[in-house]
Amino acid sequence: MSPALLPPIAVAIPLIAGLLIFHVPEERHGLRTALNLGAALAKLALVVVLLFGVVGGATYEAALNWLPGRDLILRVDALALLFLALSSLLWLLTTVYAIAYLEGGSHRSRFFGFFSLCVAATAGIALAGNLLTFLLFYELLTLATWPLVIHRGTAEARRAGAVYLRYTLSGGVVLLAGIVLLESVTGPVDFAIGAALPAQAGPAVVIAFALMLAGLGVKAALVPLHGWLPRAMVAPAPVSALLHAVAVVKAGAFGIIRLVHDVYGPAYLAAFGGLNVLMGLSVATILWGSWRALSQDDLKRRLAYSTVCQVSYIALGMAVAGPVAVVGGLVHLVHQGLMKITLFFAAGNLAETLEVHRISRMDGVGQRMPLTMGVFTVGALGMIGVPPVAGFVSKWYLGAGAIAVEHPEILGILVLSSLLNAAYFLPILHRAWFRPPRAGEWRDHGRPGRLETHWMLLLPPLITAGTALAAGLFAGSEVSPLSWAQRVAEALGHGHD
Amino acid sequence: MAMIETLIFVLIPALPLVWGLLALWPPARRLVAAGGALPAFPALVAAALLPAGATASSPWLLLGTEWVLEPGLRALLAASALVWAMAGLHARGYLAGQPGRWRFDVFFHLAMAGNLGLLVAADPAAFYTLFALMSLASYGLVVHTGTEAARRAGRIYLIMALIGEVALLAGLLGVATGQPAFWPALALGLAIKAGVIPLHVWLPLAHPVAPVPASAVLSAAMIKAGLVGWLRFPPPAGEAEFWGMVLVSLGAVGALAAAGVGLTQRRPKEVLAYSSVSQMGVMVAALGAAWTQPGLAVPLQAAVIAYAVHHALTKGTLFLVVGWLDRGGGMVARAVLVVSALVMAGLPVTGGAAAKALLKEPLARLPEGAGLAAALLTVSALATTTLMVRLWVVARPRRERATGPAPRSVAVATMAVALAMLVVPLVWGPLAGGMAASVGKGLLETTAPLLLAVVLGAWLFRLRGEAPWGPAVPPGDLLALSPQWRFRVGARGPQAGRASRARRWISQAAAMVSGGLRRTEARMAAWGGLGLALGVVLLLLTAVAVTGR
Repeated sequence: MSPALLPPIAVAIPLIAGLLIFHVPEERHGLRTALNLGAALAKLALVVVLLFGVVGGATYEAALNWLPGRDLILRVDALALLFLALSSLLWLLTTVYAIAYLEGGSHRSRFFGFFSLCVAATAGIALAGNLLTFLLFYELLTLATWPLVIHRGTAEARRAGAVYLRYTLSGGVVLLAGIVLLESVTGPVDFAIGAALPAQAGPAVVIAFALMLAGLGVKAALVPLHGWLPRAMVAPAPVSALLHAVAVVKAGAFGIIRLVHDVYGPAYLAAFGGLNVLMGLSVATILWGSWRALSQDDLKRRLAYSTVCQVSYIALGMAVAGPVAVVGGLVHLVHQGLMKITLFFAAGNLAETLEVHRISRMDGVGQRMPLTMGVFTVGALGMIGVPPVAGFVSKWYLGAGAIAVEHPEILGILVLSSLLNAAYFLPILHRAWFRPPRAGEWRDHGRPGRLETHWMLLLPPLITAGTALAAGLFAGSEVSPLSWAQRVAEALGHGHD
Repeated sequence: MAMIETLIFVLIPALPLVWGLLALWPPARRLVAAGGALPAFPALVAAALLPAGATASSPWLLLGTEWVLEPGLRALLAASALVWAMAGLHARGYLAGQPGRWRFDVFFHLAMAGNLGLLVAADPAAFYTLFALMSLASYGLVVHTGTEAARRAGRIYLIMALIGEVALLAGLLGVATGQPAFWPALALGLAIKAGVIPLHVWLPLAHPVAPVPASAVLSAAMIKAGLVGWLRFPPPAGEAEFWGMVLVSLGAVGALAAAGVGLTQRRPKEVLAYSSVSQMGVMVAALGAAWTQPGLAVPLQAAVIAYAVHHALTKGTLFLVVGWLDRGGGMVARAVLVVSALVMAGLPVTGGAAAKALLKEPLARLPEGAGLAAALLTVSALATTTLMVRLWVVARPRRERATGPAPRSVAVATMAVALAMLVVPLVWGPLAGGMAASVGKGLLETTAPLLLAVVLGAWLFRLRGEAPWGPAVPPGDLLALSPQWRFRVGARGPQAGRASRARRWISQAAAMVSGGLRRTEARMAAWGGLGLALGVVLLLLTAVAVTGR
């Protein structure tokens, strides 16, 4: 088999799985599960092959002539693999979780079909080799996610879905406008080469950057474009995990990385102030997200605002630039995903097992569900930046990078954000572990047995929390996300300075 | 060989960590509780067997961990490990049969991992990790009893500890990137842990509310982490003199003021906590003096470490014996209390006298202020002695309390630390040297302050509950000055409504701004938000592009 076929196969596996699942009758539970897990495992295996290939120096690229002079390109590079590996691993775990979470629910074939399409779109975004391909999959992701957001079909879910569409579709249009404007100046933009920019940034180039940043900022939930994210938390827990950790928000952040490094280049952006704008936006987002999270009583809402804050660390790393901070931003793409998906899994377990949705009802919940709250604790401490959980590594690199390029004020922002994170996460932990349970706060749906809830709800968060812990504890080892992020940063052209 | 050294270094934090986490698993809890002393042994082994200055590195761990057994800190490592081990043994009897025992074990061993590990962690990231582990795990020890006082102390502790953590992070990032400008943040983070006035307010609240074995390690071992941090990451060369003066001033004030406040305390553990603040003040001031006088830095730092070793063993004994008395200790326990209090007060031929003599010698060679330093040391010794009399007054076993046979592990653990307290100064080089110096000075000169203080304290003897003068200062002293915290500190009842007008105005303004922003967010969400956002981005870009030209 030609190596050029591998990138399209990575997109095709979930795509075909999704299309097949749509046609699985609702009651054929086993077949649907087999398709789901088979596809997820196959994709993970493919990612492992690609990882070894890239380490060995192989290149994978596939091009399809789509319009005259406009190719669709799928290419595997180090950055693409960072995102692809994360989304593949988390897809597998989320699928396991979703199978148990939706047990006995309705429209499961529809759900898992769109779920797989989402992952296909994410794979496409990761592997996109030029702006046009990126845009195509970016739009596909919007369309595939919307049915998941409104899956429950309640009035609230449909309202949230409408808000989601309003934001993301207009974001897509703006992104399209930006791409058209830029390519009218530079011609088709390939990520491997970068845009053929004029030496002096003219208004068209600047406006194109603003448009593209706004279009990507919608999915990355940059303030003031973040309004859809806290509303979308009405979706079922696996969808929240998908939105916050695997696909949607990450697609925006990933797009910003591509925009900064593979379209414009940090030096060019710095010359016309683009990096400063990105830095201002991400700092505002970090502070605003943390501040709003403080006052939320709904657990998933608080987690959603926490995502608003945390995803901006990635953009912040790009904006600060410099070799160290970029590593911090890149590695946070993985670390935030691992920690946030753990938190949403745990929140889902509480909702599913005890019908606990509000933080004010979580008193003593650690005694009833120690494993769930244990992984929640790992995730929460990681978000605050407590070592040795992975979030600490991101924060360390961002802080050291900010000092290295003489932006000490960014260190102040990180410190403030850590304190705010502590202020909204630690009270949850305190309630769960240090307060006695109050009668009548929960409706326990747990089955009598040894485990606190269904094992398929328990295993995925245990794995993600363990991975987040290991990613921090063994950050110096050669197989850690950190060392891969360092490889990516070198490939992005920072290795020499 | 290198492999074995690395293994020992890694085990110093790893074994207590695993041991603590093991207590989460119910079938293992009995084993964990029974072997509470065991995980401190890698640290003891390292202190005993590894050559001075041994180094090792574990590049796979965290951000590439470097280990070092600094020659100066070897004794502190040994003393800390001994106190930890014996506190673990003490807990076996002290907490026997109490609810939530396993939770105590988890936090106790996590804190042990952090404390013992940071003594040998050389790189900033590992030091920070272990420091954070120790600080956060200690929260569980502080709130263990679950009383209202414990929760209040825990809240204040956690706020201070978190501020310390982030300051330490900023400071250590400065160290890691070679930027000396961030050193003040590092100093702040360490000063909170070391109980430097006025950042000590959490300490007299938090140390006493924990169960006795935890108080012992908090006050004897963990409090030294700040000192160790300063020794490992000294101030940048150009500013050493300034920061030295800061530490000297704060340390001297702390040494005297804390002893004064301690005299008014009514419970033994609060007296001991203030004694710790006071003693740390002496050490911090001496360290500051070392920074201001590079010529005297070597003997002064060695004296500070020797003082820290003496304090760890003595304060450990004092706390443990208070717990022994709690659990029905008899004559032997009372004898241990008297002896350890006398050691703390600086009785000749004990560690207290030796440590003070060690400090005095280089301080006497200060080019200026030598007299002042000597006077301060004498006054502080006097204050400590009086404080120890106060301790005896409040710690005497009440007649109505049932005395029964104390759990054996409590007695054994206390006696072991007490033995080390007496023997170590005789055999361990630096303190033995100090001992020789103190003995050589003649009996009258060394015992005069002691006698004076005993006489001074004698009339306090009859005042059991009340302070010798005026009302008792509530623990956490300075916190009681703020109306917002007074209620929480629990002094005189709530006076919450009396916040100043300025503060009310600020909070109203903050609420208005926050509310306005929230409404904007909601409106934008309804509309889609994009146009406005795009406008903002464009505006910013245009502004930057225009001004950039």
